Amino acid sequence: MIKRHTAWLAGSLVATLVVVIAAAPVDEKADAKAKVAAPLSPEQKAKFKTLTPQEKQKFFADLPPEQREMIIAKKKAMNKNAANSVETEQAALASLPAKPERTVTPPTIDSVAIDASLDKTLATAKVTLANGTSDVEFVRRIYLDTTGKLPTPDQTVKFCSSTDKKKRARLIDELIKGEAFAQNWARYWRDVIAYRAPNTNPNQVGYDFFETWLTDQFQKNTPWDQVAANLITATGPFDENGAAAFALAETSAPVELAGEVSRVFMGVQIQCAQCHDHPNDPWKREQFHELAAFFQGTATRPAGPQVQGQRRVFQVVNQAGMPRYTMPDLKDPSKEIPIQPKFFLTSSEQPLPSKLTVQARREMAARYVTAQDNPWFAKAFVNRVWGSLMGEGFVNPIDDLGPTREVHHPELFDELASQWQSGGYDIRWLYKTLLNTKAYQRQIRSTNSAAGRTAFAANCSSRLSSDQILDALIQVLKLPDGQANANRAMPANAKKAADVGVADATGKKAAEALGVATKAVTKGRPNGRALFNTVFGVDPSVSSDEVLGTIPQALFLMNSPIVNQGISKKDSIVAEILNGTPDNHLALDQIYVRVLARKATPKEVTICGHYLDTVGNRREAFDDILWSLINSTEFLSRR
Amino acid sequence: MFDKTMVKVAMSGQGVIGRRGFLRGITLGAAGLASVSFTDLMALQAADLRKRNMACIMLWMAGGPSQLDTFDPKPEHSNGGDTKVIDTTVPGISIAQGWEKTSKVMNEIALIRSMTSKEGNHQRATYQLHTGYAPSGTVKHPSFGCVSALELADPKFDLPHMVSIGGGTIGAGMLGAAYEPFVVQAADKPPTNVTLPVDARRFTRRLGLMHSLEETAFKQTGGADRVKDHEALYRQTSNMILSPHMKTFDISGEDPQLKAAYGENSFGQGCLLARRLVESGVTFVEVRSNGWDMHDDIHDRMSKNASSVDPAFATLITDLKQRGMLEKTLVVWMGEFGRTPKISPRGGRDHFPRVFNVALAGGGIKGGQVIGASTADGTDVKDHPVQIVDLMASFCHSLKIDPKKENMSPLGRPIKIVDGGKVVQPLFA
Repeated sequence: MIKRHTAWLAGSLVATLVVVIAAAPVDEKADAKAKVAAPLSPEQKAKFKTLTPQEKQKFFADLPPEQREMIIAKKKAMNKNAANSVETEQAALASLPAKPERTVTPPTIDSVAIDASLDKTLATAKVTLANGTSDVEFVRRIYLDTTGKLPTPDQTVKFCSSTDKKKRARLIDELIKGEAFAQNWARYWRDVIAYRAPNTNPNQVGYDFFETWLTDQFQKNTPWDQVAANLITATGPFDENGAAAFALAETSAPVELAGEVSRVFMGVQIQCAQCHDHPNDPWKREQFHELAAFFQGTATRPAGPQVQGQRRVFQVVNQAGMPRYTMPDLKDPSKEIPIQPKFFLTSSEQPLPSKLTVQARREMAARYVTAQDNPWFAKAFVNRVWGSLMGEGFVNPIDDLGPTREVHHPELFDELASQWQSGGYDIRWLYKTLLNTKAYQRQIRSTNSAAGRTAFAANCSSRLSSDQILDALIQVLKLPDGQANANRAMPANAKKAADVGVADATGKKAAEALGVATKAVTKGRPNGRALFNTVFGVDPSVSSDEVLGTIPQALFLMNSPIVNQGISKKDSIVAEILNGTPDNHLALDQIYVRVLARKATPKEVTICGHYLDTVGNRREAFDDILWSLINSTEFLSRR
Repeated sequence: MFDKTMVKVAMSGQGVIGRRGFLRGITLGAAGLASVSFTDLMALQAADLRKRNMACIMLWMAGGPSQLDTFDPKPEHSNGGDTKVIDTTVPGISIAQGWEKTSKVMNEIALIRSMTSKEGNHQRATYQLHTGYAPSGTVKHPSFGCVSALELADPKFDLPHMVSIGGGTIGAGMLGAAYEPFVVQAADKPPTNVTLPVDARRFTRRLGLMHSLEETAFKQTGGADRVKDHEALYRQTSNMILSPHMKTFDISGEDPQLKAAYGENSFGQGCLLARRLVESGVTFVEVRSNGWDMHDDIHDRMSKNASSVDPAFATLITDLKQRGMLEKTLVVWMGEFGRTPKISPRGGRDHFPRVFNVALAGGGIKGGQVIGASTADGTDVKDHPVQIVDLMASFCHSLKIDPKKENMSPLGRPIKIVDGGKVVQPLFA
């Protein structure tokens, strides 16, 4: 990190030089006032313009120290102009209405109460509820839903053979405190933002730093209102503040920020009102623009110049001064109507001061959104978590809550969201409470049964996320695992970050193996995981029962060398199991536990036994069995 | 048994109303319907479409090709730079030097010299020229290629309906996975992961094993919906890779003279592959050429790019014509915007959406004409401004797609294939 900063410093000074030269006329006036000579002579300026970036760096290094210092001082002065002075900001923030006190009332609702409420309503639907999961079914589901990874054979066996009556609750406690839990859900939110980001250049967003930042928040169990407020108000370079990725993903544009803040944090799709009053909801066009006005003056800037061999960092800045937001006048497109920021969901607020800095505006937006009197904020999060764990939300799609949508079990939804909100947005509490319900722990049912067609009478199967499928493949096939650090923040100068990909799934090769555009992908998130994501990734805001597989995915699992060599190479996991286990049935069980976290059913044993006889070659037959299991629906599904 | 409206509901794409919502919404016959997979329903709807056999090949000049150094040269003005002009087979139409082969087929080509938009950012403009819409956080609009696949393709055809050669492109967005472009990195290599790792007999045996294991296990334990969709996907994918049509991807057997005429480079061979794909029944093929973002040394870089695109474009038109396919195949040459008329100190041209040009042939287009004009210095549209939506509406007209047809966004918001816009009538006169 330190090394990089030094390099960046040199680089950014060269940039200053460029700017200083470009802005010469204005600067000379300012200099005359300050009685400071111009930093560069006209000859030097002329020469500088002809240099390559590398030569420019050398040119700078070769300058006499006093000239260098002058340029550095100028750079500082310029940086100062990029934002208001500390005093201005403090005065602006002080003029804001007092921040409402945040109270914490521990929730009284618990897993038992949730089940009681559900059961009561479900009883009127007169459907037979799905049975509870067996330990075997439960252990795979809980590991995937918390850590994002399959349980290892050891973990599966240990859990299933334990006679502890409270083993499920204990395992839940253990898993939700781990880093894998934090990372799994950080990746979920990374995708929530990335799949709708108008900035389609991941280079300019820094999703890897975002993931690291959010993993840290989840691991510390930072309350959700603080996480959201940080995302809404973030400034700075993405490698120093991972939260900046949110604004960067939205190109720091007020209308995009307004739309996504509303959708992601409140489940309200007010962005439909950008051009006209909302067709189904009561939102007026003006209300959308009043929300957008909170983000006026937010801007994306490079955090330094392009330096060859280094990854370019982008930053979010709050522009200086008092911004002015306008919306186009529909009656006369040549006119713009000035709009003051106003929050559309909570009405009884003190009026805002007429002049607000950018920082003060964003700060107020964060306050309104996350305030305990805004029920949408709590509902949006609760619905997402519930929807992910049950396979179906109280409201669907999970990011479109209303105000006039069909809600399953509305009383329970209100109660749960409201108690979580007054309880101080404790993320871990929410997971723990939901994971311990009978409802969560019910078996899945398909839609050809009544329970499968009734919300929460059964759990719903969903397809695993891209990260989960990749981790499962790494684990099952024992692929060389450079992944542990691959998606943690990479040093920004890690141009060889591709080296940390999966086995062959690195850099360009991986791009080819996966059938994706090399250039577009490797530039931005240069690791095997990101590449895998371009083939297997899915927008997590899409309902789980609508996520279908794709041809490139099927081709990858069927035919890719990564999978096939992983199965058939000499020292593969199949070889390891067969060598250690002469008995075919026992070997079969080992493969099943490894891939599907369960033993083969008697029917499967028969089918595989028959297959072994037909093929006549033990290794070949078992390779085929492993191939079939990896390509099966069950392997790719949460069940 | 299948009421059309029900099928349409399920068809409305990924996200409108899920299988669960769909089945819940039906009070009668749910049990019967449950035996049909979601994907089967999609196919059923598609089968309802009349097959029109129209196809489109889009030659995409990524980066924004300069209008002044392609089909709208300005030799009389200083903005024209060093670019000389050449005559074409159509009297009165001149184009930039470097495009000699194209000049010979000008009687098949209509040039629009008055394209205009406001978007000068590569990503956003690329999105707009592919979808007809500005990017938004609310809806991921499908690319026109994917829309064409949905509207025109025969669902029984066993190759993908939309193929992108030379890299990825804008995808199917809200239309869902079934219409995603199939990406071929390079025309001279087989597509990724279509080569069987084991012999076909063993491959089929593996599929059979997978199928019988799924039938007895996951299908019986709550996974029936997912197993059905998965089986449909695996059927489709394995049909594809085992299909005789896969030979289409192999251009090695083509006449060496024809290969040479297309140009022995990735773009030339990509165009040849595009012709083969359309011939075998693929609906939409995009062939990508990179390196059009010429901020410096435009003169040299243009001649290099033109040397691969010019012969490929011209040969594609002739080849299609000779095979009697041109009338039913729209060929489009375009990029995301034009470039500044004034040449920069670096000898290049920067982004310029205000005026750019597009070349069209086939698909009912009347060739040998120029539509619209730019001003003498090239800084503005002088005559017949054509917006992106107008161009999209014209694509629809050529391919006989109804531009007003609506597809549902995941939020149930109807999205027209083209939002407004007027067909550029002279194209078809």
